[in-house]
Amino acid sequence: MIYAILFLILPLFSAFLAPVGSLVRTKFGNILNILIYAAGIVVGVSILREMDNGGLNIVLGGWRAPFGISLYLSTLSVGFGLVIYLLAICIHVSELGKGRSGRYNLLFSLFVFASLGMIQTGDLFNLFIFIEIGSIAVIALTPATNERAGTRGALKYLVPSGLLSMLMLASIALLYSSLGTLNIAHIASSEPLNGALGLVLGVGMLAVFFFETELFPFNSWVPDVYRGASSSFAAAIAGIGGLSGAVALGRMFLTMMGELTSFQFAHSSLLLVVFMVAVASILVGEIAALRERDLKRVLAFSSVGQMGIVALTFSVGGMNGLYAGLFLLLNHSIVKPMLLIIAGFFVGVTKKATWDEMNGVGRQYPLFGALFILGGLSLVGMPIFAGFWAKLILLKALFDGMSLLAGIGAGVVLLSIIIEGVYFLRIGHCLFERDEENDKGERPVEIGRAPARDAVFAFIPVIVLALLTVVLGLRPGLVSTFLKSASSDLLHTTGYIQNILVTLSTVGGGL
Amino acid sequence: MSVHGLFLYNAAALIVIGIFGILTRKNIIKILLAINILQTGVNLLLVAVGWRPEGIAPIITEQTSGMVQFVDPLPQAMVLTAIVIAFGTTALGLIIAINYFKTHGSLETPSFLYGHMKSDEDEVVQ
Repeated sequence: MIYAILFLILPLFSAFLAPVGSLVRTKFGNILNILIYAAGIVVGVSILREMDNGGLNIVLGGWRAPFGISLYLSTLSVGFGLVIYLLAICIHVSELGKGRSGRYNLLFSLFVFASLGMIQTGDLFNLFIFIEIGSIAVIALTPATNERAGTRGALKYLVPSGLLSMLMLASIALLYSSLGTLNIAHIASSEPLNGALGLVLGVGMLAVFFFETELFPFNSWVPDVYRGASSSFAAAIAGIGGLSGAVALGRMFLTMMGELTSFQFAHSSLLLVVFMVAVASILVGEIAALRERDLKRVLAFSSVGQMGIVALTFSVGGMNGLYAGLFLLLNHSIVKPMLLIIAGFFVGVTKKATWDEMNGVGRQYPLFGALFILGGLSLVGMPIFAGFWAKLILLKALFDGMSLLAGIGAGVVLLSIIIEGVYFLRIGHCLFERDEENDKGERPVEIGRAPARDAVFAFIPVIVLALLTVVLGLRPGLVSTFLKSASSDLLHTTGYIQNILVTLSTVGGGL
Repeated sequence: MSVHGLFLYNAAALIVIGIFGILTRKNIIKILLAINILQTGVNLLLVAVGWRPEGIAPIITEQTSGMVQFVDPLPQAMVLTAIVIAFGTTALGLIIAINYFKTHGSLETPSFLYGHMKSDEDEVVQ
């Protein structure tokens, strides 16, 4: 399978070709990106078909792990990689009418590349590089459409990103000096670290993933980046960035710092840290979303809450909880981009940013309005949508957990469901209600007509993603095997170490 | 103090100065400078981690056989990469700071606050 490496590097082709092609035709980069991502899906599906249960190692430069950098292709990384490619296609389709420049498409491809790399790599320093590439793409793309709101978001991203990634690099340096390796599997199988050192290094490395996954102490960038970036790029951050950040967090916390690894003496304290961060994220995110008036900022705070629930499943709930968490992550990555694309469309036709000024827009565009409510209900966890199964399995796993932490977690998740229900239904109601005058005697805003072409380009990805969440809600069995194998991949460190260091067939190699 | 110790203490001092600067300065340029100081400190730490007593530069020539002890070359390769990345993020940060100044007329962090701009019609981003 010589082409397995293509699954990671395909976006680089479009990154280098897009700016050149855009000199000839403006839309070149956009179309090329869609074609390349479609090719990525084909490669991914063929890898999945040929792969035996364990997965596949790609060694770069011909050096076997732990000496060289290895990429680990398993059902987890290929499956979520396919989701990333699918989301990237959907987001590019929604941008077709917007005339993005070649440079925009270049950076977007780099963002996709970095996200794919984060979930595939088996090397710590390589992971750091991918995080930095992703950060540079986010910082450069956020001000691409609105310089004023965008630069503010970008700076709020840049400062903590610079601080936390350097903390991660310092922790990597100290870890390397104590264990003498950078390979994640090799670190996990090394001699146990002292508890205090393990805790400090663990927190230093996890902090940057809390930041990427939009979790509480580092979430100040989330609302401003969502609001300042174009809604299609905000959709990419919510879907693609959130997905890869959470999978990388799982790989670090569950696989590398698990119970039977070199971090075994620090594991229980690290678990408490992740648990507290998760609970704080859920509470802060949902309560802030409840008070917020700006539509895109509401969606941003809701992301903070949802990612908090995903992180919660990493710390409590065991195998079933993790399975539910990955299901929830999948649902969030499908639904949040869809909601953001709809929100961008509504902002475009009303020229207003706050949802209470958008009343009646759902009457003019009933399909978009209905799909917005559908997406909201799926995030809340109503039956017939994918979110329902995720939250049902999660609550069952938490109630079965029989520990104090699991009990607190279950309570917080139930509370978050209520709050989410309140604000999504309130927004949905407002979108369809249109009074002649509001309480203050002001007339509602004029709702413009979007050009038919723009509406179609926005509608195609939205309907695809909406169908996906409904199909997953009606037939959760379609992904259950994949998600079960993914969660056991994250949780079973010994299997991972075996696969990387001992048994797996390797492909690739030097020239 | 040994050379190794000097490297480690310097790295620690630079890291602490960098974090202090990021947390306390109000001007974006100063914050970017603090991030750079932090990056230098971390790079110094990386180099110090690879040091071995009596080690020589890890370059294989005719004079150095396999019996000679090298310092660890891997952290040095990592530092090279980290320097390039630090250069990239700093350049990008400065460009963003220029554009921020053009659109906001200030480089002070209180102008970050969302409440300042709430009623601004130019800020509606589709």
